[in-house]
Amino acid sequence: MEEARPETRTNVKVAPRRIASTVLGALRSGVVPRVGLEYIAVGRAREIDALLRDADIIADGGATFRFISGKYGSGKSFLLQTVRNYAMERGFAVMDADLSPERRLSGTHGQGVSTYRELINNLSTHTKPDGGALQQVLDKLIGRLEMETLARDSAQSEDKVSQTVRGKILELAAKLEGMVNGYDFARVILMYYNGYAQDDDDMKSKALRFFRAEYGSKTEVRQELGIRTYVNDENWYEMLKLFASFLTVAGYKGLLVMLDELVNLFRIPFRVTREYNYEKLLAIYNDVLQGKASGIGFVLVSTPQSLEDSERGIFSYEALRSRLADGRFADNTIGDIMSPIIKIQPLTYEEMFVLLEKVAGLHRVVYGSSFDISNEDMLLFLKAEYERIGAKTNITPRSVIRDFIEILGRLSQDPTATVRSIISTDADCLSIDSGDMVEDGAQQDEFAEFFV
Amino acid sequence: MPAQSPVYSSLLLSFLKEEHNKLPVYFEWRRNFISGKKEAASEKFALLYAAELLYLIECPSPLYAMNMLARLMNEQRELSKNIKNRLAHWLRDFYILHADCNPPKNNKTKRAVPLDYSKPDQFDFPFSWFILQKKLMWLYPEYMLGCDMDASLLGGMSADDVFDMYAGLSSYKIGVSRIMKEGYAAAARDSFLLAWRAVASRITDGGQDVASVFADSRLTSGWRPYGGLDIRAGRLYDSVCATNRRFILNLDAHREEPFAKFKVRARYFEQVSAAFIKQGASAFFGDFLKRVDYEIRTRVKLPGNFLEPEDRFDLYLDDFRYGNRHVDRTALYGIDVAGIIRDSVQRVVSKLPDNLRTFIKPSKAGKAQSAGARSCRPLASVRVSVDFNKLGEVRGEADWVFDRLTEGQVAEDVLPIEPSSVSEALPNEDEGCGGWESFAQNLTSEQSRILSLMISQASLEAISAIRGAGMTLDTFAEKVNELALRAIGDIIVETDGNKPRIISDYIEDLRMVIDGRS
Repeated sequence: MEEARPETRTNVKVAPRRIASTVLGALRSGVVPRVGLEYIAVGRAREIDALLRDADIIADGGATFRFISGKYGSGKSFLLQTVRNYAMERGFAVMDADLSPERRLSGTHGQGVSTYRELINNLSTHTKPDGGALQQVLDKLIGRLEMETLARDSAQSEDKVSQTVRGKILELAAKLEGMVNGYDFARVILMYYNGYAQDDDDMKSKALRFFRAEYGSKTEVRQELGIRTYVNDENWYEMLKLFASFLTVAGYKGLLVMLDELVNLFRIPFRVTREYNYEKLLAIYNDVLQGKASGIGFVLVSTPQSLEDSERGIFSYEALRSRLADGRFADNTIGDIMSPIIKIQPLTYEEMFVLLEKVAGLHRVVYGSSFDISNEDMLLFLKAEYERIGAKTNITPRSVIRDFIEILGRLSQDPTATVRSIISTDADCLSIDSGDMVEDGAQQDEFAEFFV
Repeated sequence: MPAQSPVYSSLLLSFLKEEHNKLPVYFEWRRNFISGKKEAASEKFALLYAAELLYLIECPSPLYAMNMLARLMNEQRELSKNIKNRLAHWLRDFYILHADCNPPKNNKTKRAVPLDYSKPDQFDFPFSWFILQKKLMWLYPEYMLGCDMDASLLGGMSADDVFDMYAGLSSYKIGVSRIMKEGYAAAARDSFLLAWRAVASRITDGGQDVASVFADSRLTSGWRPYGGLDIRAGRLYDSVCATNRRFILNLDAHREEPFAKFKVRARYFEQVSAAFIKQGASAFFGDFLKRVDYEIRTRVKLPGNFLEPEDRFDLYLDDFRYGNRHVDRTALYGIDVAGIIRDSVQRVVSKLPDNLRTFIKPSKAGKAQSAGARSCRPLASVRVSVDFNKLGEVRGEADWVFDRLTEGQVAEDVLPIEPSSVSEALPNEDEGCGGWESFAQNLTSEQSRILSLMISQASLEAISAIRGAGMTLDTFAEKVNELALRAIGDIIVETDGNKPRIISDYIEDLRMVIDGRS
């Protein structure tokens, strides 16, 4: 390996130690870190840009719908978490849920409403990033209305304030009334406020139960709340839209709904049930993109097979296929980020290299590593990773980073160890071809080459 | 491989369909037999009870079942030789499957069981590599999964044996393929073993052993113990209460086997549905070997029109994954089996001698050899390179993403911030405590007092102070967290609805801030 390789490491962003430590810990465990994703975001500029533009559209009162499609470990969750963090930090509310056999978009045993429940339970905001923000959102609206009232006349009596806030909630009701179930939705908010004002926890809890879809019948909800609507498989999407409008009124920029593990729809064994689910998906898609929804965005995460399989995948439903499939002029090698489907492309070797650089940088911040890992070391490591059987199609950033952090850990603990020595003793480097890295630097100075 | 058992199936079928009114009699006989009474049983009763034992229905342990099977053979002298032979086969298979149970050793039991099951070579058919391998696969999966697939670990099996075993299991008969006749048998073997080892190790990564993957799933039936007899989740209840329980019974022993679901209602069997479950040779290994065959033909440019087989590996793995909740789904998904095979074949072929690396018709081989290796150029390896000139571009892009993600990091409508503070959204702790200073400046005296109470673990006082200030816990937490996010880039207070809590990482910093203020 030639030594005179250009050193172009510049403008390295240094993470605070606390964040670096969190990121490194998460990467070591193979999970996407909750914070600090910007420090390791490499090679996903176009995808991130597309999703952030979606967020801008939602903030402007529009609605968006995106699929993220990629293989296991390709970085879907990373992308999702990045957008989630970004959105929350900019005043969006975010709901997320993983689909499963019990949680679908539609089903005869309440699978649709189960998804809704999960979404509501995971409602997150900037200051409550781990879910469970429903009550906080309601309190925030009330607090905001009270503050506005007091700001006009701070000498008002408590009753007067309460009356004014009620009036404002009724105004909100009028705004939501045009939407399906909007009137009942606003009445429940009013009920929550009454409970809040009268310090009646029972009433508040009844209202919260409504939002959490814990009522199972009209009779029950009428007895408890005096309304006729309850959240069920038919109307849960309408409720999400109501939430989006409500959140906008409450001071949030919009609502971002994220559904992961869409492969579970593909796995539904019965065609009819599967198609009902796809039909629901189509209804949401149409609704969002025809401008009937506002302040709401959907990001659905899928695998290529569950999306494109013509027998059971989403493309098996012709109406969706014709909307989502690539057109005649699509270029599959780069992927069209303007289309509803963002296809995650594998990281290039250069991107992987820079990613390793960044991970090494984080390691240095956290452990103040005395050793220095050279370009040659990183190349050697990459070679070892890509030399594994099936690496060409199976290697993922997750596994590479995990291995790399292990190596960094060993290097920092054992001053005598080198990357080469660690790799050569690694039993997991399966290869019947132990060909060494080509060290013919004379041919092309700017290339480091190796064979797999 | 043990013989099929159509006799048994038909007997049981007729018993269930036509003589179900005899079930109470069977239950009585079974009760007596278990309690030790020597009572002659009809062949149907014996077979039915044997089936229950084989599947450990109501058996405390495999050893118990084995003893009872031995008793059945020994005591039921009226049974025909045919049935006794069948029982002997089943008993042997049972032992193979449950080798962990200690075979009976005393003389008396030995007489009852005429075969010494601790010595496999005494069986009435060769205890072949096949059975041995199956035993290893079923009972000692780690033998199959270890990185060292060498002969000693595989009980003396050579690589050829292992390959033959899988070839025997598979639905694709690679033995008659042209590659085997043209001198690529060893390449096929090595490619297969290399690829299968890589796939198996991937499956193990998810915490699931590959043996159970292929033993329990419908991907392959492989060796079917008890000659294909299959009662699953079945239980013949002799209690009146235990009705409406379902079980599945194998009715036939053909390749596409109809399975019927029965349920017991008031001691009568009733067929409720029928389903087809694929049995017989393994389609998964069939596709695996076919893919190996195809890749070798392509690599060495073997003439002929061998179409690329359909890639159904994802479906196989999905099938398995869907039926096994305990499996790490992510570990199984996305294993590109075809890609692994392609890589393996490429490696193996690249190591072949020149005259094999590219196929040459035998008639021309002599000429080609004499003409040198010009016509047999080595296949180009896939070259992977890192272009250092591109790194700057990639880094620049990453920096752009960083800036895009961190610009205006705090929500303007929630807490408006000056544009100048954007660049300080994520302060570097190493640069000092500027973040905390700004936090302290923006903290109201009331918030400071409540935080101070929380630091000193006076939760109740803190809660009443929050309520006294006309706030809920959530609104208090939100206000403080907004300040904290602006100042240090993280939240510092959590609530569980009833109680606020300061995140432990920040208690000391916060203490200093509060002390500084006071």
